[in-house]
Amino acid sequence: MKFSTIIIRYGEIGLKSKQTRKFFERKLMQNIKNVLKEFNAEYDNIKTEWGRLYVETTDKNVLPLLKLVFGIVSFSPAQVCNAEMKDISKLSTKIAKERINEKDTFAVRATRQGDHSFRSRDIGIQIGSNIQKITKAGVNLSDPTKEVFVEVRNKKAFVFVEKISGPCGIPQGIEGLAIGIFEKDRPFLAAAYLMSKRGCDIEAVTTEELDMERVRYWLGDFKIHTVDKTKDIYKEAEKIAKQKNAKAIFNSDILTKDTLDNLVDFAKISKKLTLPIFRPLIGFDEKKIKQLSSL
Amino acid sequence: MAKKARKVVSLISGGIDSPVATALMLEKGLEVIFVHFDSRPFTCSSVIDKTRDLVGILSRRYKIKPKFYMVPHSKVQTEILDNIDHKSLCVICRRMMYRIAEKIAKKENALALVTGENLGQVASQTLDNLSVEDATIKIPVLRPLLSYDKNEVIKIAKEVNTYWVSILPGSCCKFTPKFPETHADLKVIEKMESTLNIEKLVAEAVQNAKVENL
Repeated sequence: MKFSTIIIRYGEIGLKSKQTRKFFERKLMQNIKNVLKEFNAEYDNIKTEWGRLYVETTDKNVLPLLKLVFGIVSFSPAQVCNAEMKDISKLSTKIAKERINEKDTFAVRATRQGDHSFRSRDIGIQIGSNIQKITKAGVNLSDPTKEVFVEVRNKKAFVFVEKISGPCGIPQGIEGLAIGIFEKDRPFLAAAYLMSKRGCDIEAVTTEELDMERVRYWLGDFKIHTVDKTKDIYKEAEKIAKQKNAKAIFNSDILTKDTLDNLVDFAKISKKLTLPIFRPLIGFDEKKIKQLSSL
Repeated sequence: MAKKARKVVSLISGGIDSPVATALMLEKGLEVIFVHFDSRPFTCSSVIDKTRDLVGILSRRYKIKPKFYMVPHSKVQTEILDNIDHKSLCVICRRMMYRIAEKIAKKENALALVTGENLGQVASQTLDNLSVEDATIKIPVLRPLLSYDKNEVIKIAKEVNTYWVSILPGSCCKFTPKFPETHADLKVIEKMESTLNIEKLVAEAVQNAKVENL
């Protein structure tokens, strides 16, 4: 489907205070701008309104890039018209014609904010019957094969057909810096991905050259500190963390049913450090860690 | 020996997160000792019942007979309230819980603590605050939910059947200030704490803890 705007949904349930929300929005907007710039994607404007972000663009290359931006829950490429029933009807039937055929079943999902002479329900009924006439598809509100979404916001209406999942989490950079221990043959990509997903900027400490291509794809550019093999990597990481005012170190430790010494090893590491050590992978099963490692 | 090396102390409240964190660690075959901080009258008394119910649900699900420490916490909280800048109440309250739980862990030969903490989910669980809280103690803190999104936690809570009890009324902590500290500084917090008799408070709490067998 062609589009002129991408609607971006964000927000965590825990995002309560107005101040936190503003900070979150600003950081998210900046991170989106950065990634679009980095990959030379084109856009005219980006703004926050009605608890959403709107990117005005027709560039298809923007879509896969939004999957890289933590904090985005979902997004929808949309076409825009005036918030008048006849305009909405014209646009949505045009979109439906391209996408829905008589073998399909469909539902119209409408929401509305602002003053209008019609209700959300009226949009559903009117547009649903128009689409039915034109496509000969049946209506099925509970489990349709296709959906048409109409979001009326004051003087504008957005029409779209899909909600694409984003990576969720919170915008990178909100929490500040965490230093990652990257060791060969360990799931450091999964660990770094998760720490970034929860808002941390990261820098890596390693003793040897590692393949960072996938990590860089997901996290963008980040600093790598290579330290001497003969030294204790945790102690070195702590030195770096203190220089950089990072508040935590993380590693890719996992917890398994079979290894009995997990906790003994954890305790040894904690004992030699004054900074906290985060283990973002211990709450996941092996399947999930594998999946994250092959991102 | 093998058994001892799998023992942990889990800090459990009546909320959504800590039962899920504990469930994830039970899945991994860890032996869990439960610790609940009884904060009445700063919390409603229904919190105690909720917590007992949650421990019960987990015990049945994972077929365990856990030890359950009920630690009186309001005396510690009153001391904090009387002596500490209210903005930092939460951070210091949590540091006290960590200290007490670490003492219990030592007594029980447990190797780590487990909490439901999550990075960035609420304003008080920032990287800065978690860092300052973690610095209180020497034993590792396992935070299985550290990098989970809230909707993922809720999904597991429903799977392990704790969700429906966790969302019952009574999670209110009246101890929380209106604007809690979001970027705690270790040096500042340590200075504030120097007005408290920490050792005595911790020792008393451990001594007055009641062990319940469910």
